[in-house]
Amino acid sequence: MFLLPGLAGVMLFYLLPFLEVVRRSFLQSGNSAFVGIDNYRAVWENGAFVLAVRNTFLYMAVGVPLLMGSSLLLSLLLRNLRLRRRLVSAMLLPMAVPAAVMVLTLQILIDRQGVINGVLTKAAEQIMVIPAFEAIDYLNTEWALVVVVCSFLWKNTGYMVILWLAGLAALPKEVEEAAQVDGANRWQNWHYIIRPGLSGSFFTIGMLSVLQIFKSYREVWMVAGSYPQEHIYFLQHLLQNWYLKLEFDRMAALTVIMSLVLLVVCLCLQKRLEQREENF
Amino acid sequence: MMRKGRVLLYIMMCAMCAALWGCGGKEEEIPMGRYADREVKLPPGTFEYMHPCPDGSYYLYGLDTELTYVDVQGESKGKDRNWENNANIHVKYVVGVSDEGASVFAYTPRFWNDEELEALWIAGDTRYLYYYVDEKGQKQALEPHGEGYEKATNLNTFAFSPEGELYAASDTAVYRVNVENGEVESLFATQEQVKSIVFSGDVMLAADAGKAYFYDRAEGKLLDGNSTLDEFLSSHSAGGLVMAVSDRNAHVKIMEDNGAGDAEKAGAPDGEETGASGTNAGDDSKNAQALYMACRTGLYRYIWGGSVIEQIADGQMTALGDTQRSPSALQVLDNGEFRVMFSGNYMVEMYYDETLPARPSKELTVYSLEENGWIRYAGQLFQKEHPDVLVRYETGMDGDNAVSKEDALKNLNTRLLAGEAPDVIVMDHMDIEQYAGKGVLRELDGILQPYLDEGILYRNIVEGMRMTDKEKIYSVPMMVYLPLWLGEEMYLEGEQSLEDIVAGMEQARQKHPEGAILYTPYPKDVLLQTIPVCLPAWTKEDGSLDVEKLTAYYRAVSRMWEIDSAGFDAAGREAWQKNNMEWYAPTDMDMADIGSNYQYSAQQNFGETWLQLGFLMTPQVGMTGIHVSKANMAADWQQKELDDVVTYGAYAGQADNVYWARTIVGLCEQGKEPKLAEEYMNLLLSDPMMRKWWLDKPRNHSGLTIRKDSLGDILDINNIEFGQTMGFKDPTGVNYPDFWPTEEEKQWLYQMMEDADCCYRPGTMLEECATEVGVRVLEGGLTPEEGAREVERKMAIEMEE
Amino acid sequence: MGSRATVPAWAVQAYGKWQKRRTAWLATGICVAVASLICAPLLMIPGGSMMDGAEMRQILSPILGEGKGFAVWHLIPVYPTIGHFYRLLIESPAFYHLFWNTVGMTAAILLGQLAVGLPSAWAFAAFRFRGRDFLFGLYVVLMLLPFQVMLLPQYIVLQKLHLYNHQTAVILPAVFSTFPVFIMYRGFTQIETEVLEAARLDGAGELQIFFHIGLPLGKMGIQAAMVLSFLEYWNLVEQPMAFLEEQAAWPLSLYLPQITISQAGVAFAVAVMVLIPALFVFALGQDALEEGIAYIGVKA
Repeated sequence: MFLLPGLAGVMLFYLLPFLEVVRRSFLQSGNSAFVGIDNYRAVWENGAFVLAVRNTFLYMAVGVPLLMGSSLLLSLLLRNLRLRRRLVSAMLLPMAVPAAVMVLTLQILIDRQGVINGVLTKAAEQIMVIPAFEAIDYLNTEWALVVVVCSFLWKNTGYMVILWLAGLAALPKEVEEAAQVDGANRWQNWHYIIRPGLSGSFFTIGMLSVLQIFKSYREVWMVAGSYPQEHIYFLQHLLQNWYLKLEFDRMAALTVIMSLVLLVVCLCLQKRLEQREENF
Repeated sequence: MMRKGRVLLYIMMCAMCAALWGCGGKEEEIPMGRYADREVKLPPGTFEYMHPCPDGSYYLYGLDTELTYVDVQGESKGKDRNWENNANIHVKYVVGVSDEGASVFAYTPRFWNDEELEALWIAGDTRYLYYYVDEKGQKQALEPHGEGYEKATNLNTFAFSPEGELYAASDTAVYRVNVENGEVESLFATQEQVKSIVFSGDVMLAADAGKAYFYDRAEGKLLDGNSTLDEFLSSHSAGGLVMAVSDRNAHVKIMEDNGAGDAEKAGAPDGEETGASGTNAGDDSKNAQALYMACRTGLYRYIWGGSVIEQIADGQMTALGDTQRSPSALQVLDNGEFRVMFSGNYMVEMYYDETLPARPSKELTVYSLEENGWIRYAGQLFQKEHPDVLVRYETGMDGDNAVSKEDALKNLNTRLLAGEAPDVIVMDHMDIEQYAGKGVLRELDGILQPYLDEGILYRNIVEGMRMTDKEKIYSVPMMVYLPLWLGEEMYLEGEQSLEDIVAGMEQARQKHPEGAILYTPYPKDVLLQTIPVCLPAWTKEDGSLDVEKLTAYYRAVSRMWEIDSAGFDAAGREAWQKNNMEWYAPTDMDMADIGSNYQYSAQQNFGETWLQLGFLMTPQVGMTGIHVSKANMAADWQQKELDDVVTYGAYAGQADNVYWARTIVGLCEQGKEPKLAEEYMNLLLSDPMMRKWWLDKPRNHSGLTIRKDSLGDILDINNIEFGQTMGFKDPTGVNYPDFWPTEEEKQWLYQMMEDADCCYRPGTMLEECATEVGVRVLEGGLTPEEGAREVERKMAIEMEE
Repeated sequence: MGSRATVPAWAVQAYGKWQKRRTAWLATGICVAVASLICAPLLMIPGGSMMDGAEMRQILSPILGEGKGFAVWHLIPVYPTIGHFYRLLIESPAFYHLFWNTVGMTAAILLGQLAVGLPSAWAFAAFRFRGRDFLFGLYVVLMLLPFQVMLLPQYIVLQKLHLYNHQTAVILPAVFSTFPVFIMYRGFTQIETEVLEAARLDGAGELQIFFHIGLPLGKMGIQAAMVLSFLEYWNLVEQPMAFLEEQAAWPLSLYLPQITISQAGVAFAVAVMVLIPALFVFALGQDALEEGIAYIGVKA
């Protein structure tokens, strides 16, 4: 009963459209002829798809754990501080900056002749330890992925800290205090009390990190264009370029594949989570 | 629990859908009657403004044009009230005319008599001088002075009250001016320049781009504002807004009510939308004492005291919507009609036509990525021919906002995929092959055949659009640009290839070791000037990238840039770029027109220009522009005691006979009005459309028409009155007819048009990629080989997709 | 042993306190350092918003592909100007219009999400029904679907509902977004099922349980969801761009011009104007939200 209004809207604005995507994944865009799994085959055999999947996976494999780890660490440090709210707000600020300005800032910083290279060159000259520092063209070399991951971390750390803090706040304080009285050290405290208590949050925040990875696409695109350096060519680039080429059939097929994978992963994680909770 | 829930869910969903569905989409009968317009034939001259008289007659005037009176019958009554043409007067700016024909105008003198003024002028004080001419033609200088009026203030707007009092506005205030002695009395301050002043009894209404000021002339005080009007003004003033009142004398009422309202509202806090402080709601507004306003979005009526401003004519369906013109005056006639004067010698009368459906029953949707004046103009013409059709012209990207080309294309594709295709698409900067391949575009062979059979269009240009894989034509450019160079005969002559140009530059550099050779401060410019003539050659038969050709291209342009840069150091180039930044920044979309942009090269003050590469973008201005540029360059060189001959010619890159397709029009397969779309296409290809535009707007850069007879007509000096087509005499004193192309030159141009068969379409992925990498190559970040490989890598991903 | 005994109890206590305080200081230090690192690039914004166009061009000229060397940035402009703010706040009335559009849309979305998402999240947390896991998994997947793909089918739905080109076209799908449900759900899962059952046995209505037990416990989750939703919709770009043709209905995020250096100053000025309300929301909104939830919990 609580769910119904929400569910109706979700059905109308998300599920129905999604079913339309599923339907279109079996049709040819343009003349809407039924083509069976041809679109799926076209996606599967596509060289760009392989590249995009590899890059996206790498990005996630690096970005998600780094983000989750750093933000968890921060929130553990933050959680009992008096300045907590101010600091979290400060960390959230990058999220509030319009994408266009964020991109502009980024460009000024990381251009081959940008501020960062300028500072590094100056530093190299001053210290004289490093021989001549060669300006790095961050966006057009392997550094591109590093730049993307860094800006991802920069933008999203505050976001995840908020979520961790929400998770931490829900932990029963008494248990922890009791443990401290019993002389549990910090590590034990973490291992036996905090970590199990946060296992649900792990799932939530992991999923949201993935979501943020997907959402960071627009900035990447604004900085590097539709055909960026090979290492930062992600699934969304592929989707967008297909859209521009009116290849909706392939997009639909790719989306169905993606959502199946996500659904399976999500259900498995949830199952494990529940088992664990029960065991605990 | 479960079962019940599901049933409930279905019910809720159905209810929601039904409720939302009910909100729209009811078919209703279209009522009849709407405002239409007819063009008024104006007497000879180039008029910009009109002064409406209460009896329906009016005065016409313009810059450097004499005052002309047109009586109620529409007869133009001579020039008995002239402004004497004065050699001392350079350009007249602003004029106010009274009902009786007294006038006041401002001008900047060509020669200064007053030393003090001249000093100010040199110091950058661009102040006007004024004359007052009374109704009998007596002229006297008007020297505004008085308290609160600074000498350096320019009066930009003038208006005579019905009694003949003169009011004027600067960008900060409104004044009353005594025409006899020039005494100026400051009445009230304004936020911006007041553009429009109308009188209604004792009340004067002055409007700037965001606020309306009511001034009681009898009491001498400023009355309350009117938030309804203010809001309207701030959202409708772009592109010009003019006002008129239905009855100038009967309106003592506004003021009375205003006073009363003032008193009543004295204690009230500033209530926002109660606004309408012009009058209170109770007044009997039925005697239609109204304020009329005309702007791009339409003609509006505001009944005094109301809180609504109603639209009585839609700009989209009348001449008001023309984005190329802006209204300069409005006259309300007794019979319910209106006269609207537009700047640029154009006037219409708007009349109510009961036979027209209030809304057109059919809609033709035309889409283009960017605003295209020619296409908009065609829409208006089409609407005039088909009163039952509304031409909806939509642009994907307009103005300063975050919508990028990709975003706009995504939106277009959404519509196409959802089955809501527009009828006509302007394909500039879009991938035609892609859209044709996906079945979006209709094949045009059938429509174009008659034009080709009769030899009306340049067959080679149309054929250049034939898609290789489908053997059909899906789109046709209405205009083209042709590549053109301009330079010293010593180094170059006739048609040139890229290698020839490099060799010529080499020679020039030997002779002149200092200074620039090309007139391009930015690396990107060199690419923009050469990619069009090379790009078509980079794609192999099988659609893949020809890396060798691209490498060769990068080598050639790097060499050009090297030679050019050898003439001055990096600091010099930087200074040059800074100098240019203010008024010229290279863009991807458009390039310097070699003909009409001669000022660009003439104003370079760093180094000399020995060679210009560019495109011929306009027929008459372009061709005469070549001469002007030649003359300018020659004069420049003569001063430096160089006596070489300046000449020009076509150039080719890796591809021969290239033309740059502009305003490429395609029709949609899924369009809802295929018949109308076909008619629209025929209109676009018609001689009047191709020619009239040029005669109206000779200075825009649409291109050379692909219709042979129209091109000939535009270039025929007997066919057009030159002064009129140019709009104004060039202030630098260039006499255009002296530079009109000779028969020989015209033949040369026609031959170039006949030969052009290789189509360059800007905005492809390959071009964007090659330009971006090219800049890095020229700046030395990559070698030509690395650059070509980088492009190859990126294009490989694209091919894979 | 003996020596240990000589340390008086008060000293041990003091030492413990000191140690605690030291860790607190250390933690604060680290967090402050990280926060300032995160905010550092943002310091460019106020400077940029007051920088004169010529100065900006000059210091950024290497990036523009003119001239050698490296770009620098002046945190405090050499020739500060308020021209950009003037242009934005005084010369373009459109700014206010779009600003209030943004405020209105964001507020409508947040309220809607509370009204719709909160009960949904509660339902997932408090009731065990068939298909719950699958449905929840579906919610997560729907949340993760890229907008590029949903654009077309959502467009069709909105077109069918005659909502296209109306602000509701952006608001409604956002209200029903599964994202806040997902976050708020987490907050509710901490509640023990036994507590709920006990309450039910005591004859408490479902609504009562929701308001008295659910809301206070899910507080942090709700707060997090609202803050994150605010951030998300405050700078929404793609949806309004796709569903709102009429520029008058646009939010401020679309007002930002394409990035060109000549426009950069104005862009920075807009960013300042966008950031200020966000700061207010951070400063005041969180407390207000907390109190509001507490209030509802007490009253209902």
